[in-house]
Amino acid sequence: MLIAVCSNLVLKKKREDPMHQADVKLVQELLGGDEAAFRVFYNTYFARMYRFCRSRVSSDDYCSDIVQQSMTNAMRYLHTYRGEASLLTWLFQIVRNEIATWFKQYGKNDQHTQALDANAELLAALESLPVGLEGNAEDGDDEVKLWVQTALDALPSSYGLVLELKYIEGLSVQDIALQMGAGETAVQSLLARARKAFKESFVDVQRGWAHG
Amino acid sequence: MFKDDDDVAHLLKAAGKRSEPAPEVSDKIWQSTHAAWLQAVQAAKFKNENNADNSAANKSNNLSQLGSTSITSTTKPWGQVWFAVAAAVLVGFMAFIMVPKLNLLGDNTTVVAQLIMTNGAVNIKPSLHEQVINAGAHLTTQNDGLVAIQLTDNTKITLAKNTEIIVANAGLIRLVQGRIYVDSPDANTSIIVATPLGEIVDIGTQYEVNVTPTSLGVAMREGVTKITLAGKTLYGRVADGLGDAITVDTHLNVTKDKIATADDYWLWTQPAVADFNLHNATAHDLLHWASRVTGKKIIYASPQVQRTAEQTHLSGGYLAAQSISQVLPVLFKTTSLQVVEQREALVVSE
Repeated sequence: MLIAVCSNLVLKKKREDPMHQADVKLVQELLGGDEAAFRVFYNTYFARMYRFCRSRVSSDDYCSDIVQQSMTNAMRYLHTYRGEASLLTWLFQIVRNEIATWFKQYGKNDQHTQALDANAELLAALESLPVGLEGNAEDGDDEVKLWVQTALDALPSSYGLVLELKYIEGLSVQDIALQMGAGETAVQSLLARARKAFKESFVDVQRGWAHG
Repeated sequence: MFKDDDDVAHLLKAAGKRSEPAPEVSDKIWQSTHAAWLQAVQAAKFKNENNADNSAANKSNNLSQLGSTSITSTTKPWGQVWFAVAAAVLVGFMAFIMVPKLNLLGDNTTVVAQLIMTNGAVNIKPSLHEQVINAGAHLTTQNDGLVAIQLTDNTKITLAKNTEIIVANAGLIRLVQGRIYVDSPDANTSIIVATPLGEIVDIGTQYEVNVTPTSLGVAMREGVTKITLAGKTLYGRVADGLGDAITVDTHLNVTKDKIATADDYWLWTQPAVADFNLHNATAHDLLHWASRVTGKKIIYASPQVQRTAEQTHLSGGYLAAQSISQVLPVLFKTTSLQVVEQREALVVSE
């Protein structure tokens, strides 16, 4: 009885104080019909969902259909989002489900529909890649690129942006500060946090691939 | 696995920038997602209203139960059962009527903008009803045409002569040919201007996009824009009264020049600017509007002057953008302030 009461309290506290308050707020604004919130939502998550799909399905055409259906499902079940996981995780799970449904429906009969992580041979090849950390990514392997993109997409938007500006576009900290409307010290600090988060995210992505 | 931060740098550099889905895919999925979102909003509203009704009904039941016996409170009268059945039938019927209508919202019945000004020969397809522009509308200006529309987030788009755009949705304008001027006053929202050579996204700004068969031009007047070309990203900025004027040719060669924010070049946009209503506006409001229209910065002689401008209320009718230079000094003579229009600034003193 006491345990039940305690767990109820925990549940209640979790509902009242969700870990992903910004995500919950965005969803509430969406459900309230806020057009600006919709734009923020779409601009933040669409490309990430698409890349997530493309890292698992080898055709742009099929990905387009899968992500379209995933987005529609996300909107349909938006009211069920409670903030227990991040909105990105929640959306990725919807894409994952949609990919599974897609393969059940079409995959077996379509040679062009090939899930990368369903291909044992390719997966083995990927696992054997040196990942570039030992200096072998200069040829820009698509797979390594996918891992990096997936790892970047899993980070908060500001982390992904600052890493791209610094290391891919080659901007100086001063330029990034100007670009982001922040101080240089703040950018240095953001970069340090972003690098740390990227390392963890990349390892997670690799581990995810290795375990299918 | 990662020896040091250089590993991160090498890995990111080798992988390159994250790829973006094709604009037509993004556009298509935006449409369907937007439609699904509108349905979700409607459903949430419907649910909230129902909950409010139920809550009111429960409250009413509770009040009536206070004065009744326990038997009447636990027995459901036949009248209530019939009411519930009738309500369920009504809800089902409403859903039948409403759902097909809602499905249409994301197609060409989604309101995305409003027509605010036309001048000369302008062609809009499909034809408008009450100045409302729906998703997918096609706007074309002829040799003497000028048209301005306002999107739902208050971003204003002005089309110069010989220009053709498609308003794909409330956040995406396809510029097929010609020249448009984008005035996006809100830094929290942005729209995408898609052209054959690349996409431009703004961050609370004013800028012009010019598409010819051989080039893309972006001229900045305020704020920052991000220009995404195939495999290349550029930023357009404004500093010290000079905006970037970026030109991209079909081989994606980029040239950068500068254009003054107060240059006469921008005069073509003025006929599309809505008149300023002086009634109850402060001198500061008027100066702010004039600054945005002319591209000239406001220089207050002192903080005290700025406070006075904020506290000085004006009265009168409407002021047209084209008459700012003539009317502003005269108008301010009725106040304790004085405005001198310089080449790049409006200087305000007492």
